[in-house]
Amino acid sequence: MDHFIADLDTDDVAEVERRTNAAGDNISGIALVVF
Amino acid sequence: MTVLLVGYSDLQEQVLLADAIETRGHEVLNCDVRDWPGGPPITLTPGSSEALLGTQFDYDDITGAYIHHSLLFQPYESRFTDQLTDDLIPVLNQLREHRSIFQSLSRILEDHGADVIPPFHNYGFQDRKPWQLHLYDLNNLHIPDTVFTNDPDELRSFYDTHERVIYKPVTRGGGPHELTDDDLTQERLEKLATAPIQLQEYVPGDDIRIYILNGEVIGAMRYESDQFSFKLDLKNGDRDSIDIHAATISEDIATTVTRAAKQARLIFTAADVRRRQDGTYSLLELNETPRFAAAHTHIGQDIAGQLAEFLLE
Repeated sequence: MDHFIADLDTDDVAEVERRTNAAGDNISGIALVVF
Repeated sequence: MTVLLVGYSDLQEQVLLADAIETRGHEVLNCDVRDWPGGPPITLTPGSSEALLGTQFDYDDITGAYIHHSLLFQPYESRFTDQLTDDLIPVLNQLREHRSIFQSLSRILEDHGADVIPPFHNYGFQDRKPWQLHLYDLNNLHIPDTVFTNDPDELRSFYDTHERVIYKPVTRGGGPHELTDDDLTQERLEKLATAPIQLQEYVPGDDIRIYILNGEVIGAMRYESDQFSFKLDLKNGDRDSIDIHAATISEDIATTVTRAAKQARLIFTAADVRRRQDGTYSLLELNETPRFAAAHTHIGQDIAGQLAEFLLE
């Protein structure tokens, strides 16, 4: 399906996990302000 | 005393909250929902004072609970994607049945006098953004001009009457984008038929997040990011980076966000505000289970400790 909002199907939860994991020990706030 | 935490046990907020409770000499019942489906036994028996979530506990021993509703067996979670692709209806039913257990547990704990965050009536709060903003406007709280629509004519009209316009999902998913002339082609506008969107006037200024617990402001931060935010000002460098600073807020903003939390009946929340250089501001939204690890870890605002104290009362 082609939405007007192209990234509507982004999985918020998975994205938060990915960014948090990518930050490793240096939790630079990645996605930590989301939701 | 025991506090029940439900979500992902390695989620930063859940880790911080568990530590804060345990350092105060109390117990944590740390429930990772990824243990299910297929995990340890779950038993709720009407009339019984006890429940089993892998571990058995007495309802009356639980003084408080923090439950990440957005992680409760929601079909949009990526951990279910493959199963849903292969077996759609049975898996949807499976998730609904598990969700019912945890939602019911939340209600039972409330009935037994526990402080449950968020309260059951706030589950899915952020999925009702049109109502949320309507509520704030009804109570004369400052929000940006906003419309939720799938109507191309409405979009054009909003675009023509505002200097800069942001579009973003009604609930969740994609980030904010700025509406431009390129979005006004017939091909683009026809895509509105797939789902309504949120159009909002662009508010220049700083992104402020304010934490509120039980009617009081317990922390505030200013942050700069080109991701995960309503902020569209371009920032050079790592797209994943985000700068966080402690913030002081005016009495007017504090009053607005605490009033909004009260109207929304949120016990704990984070209010996202855009603050202009002249001090005026717009309230964008409140969040029912906000992330707070960054404020806690980077600028020393003890959100977890204050939450722990509340859940242990």
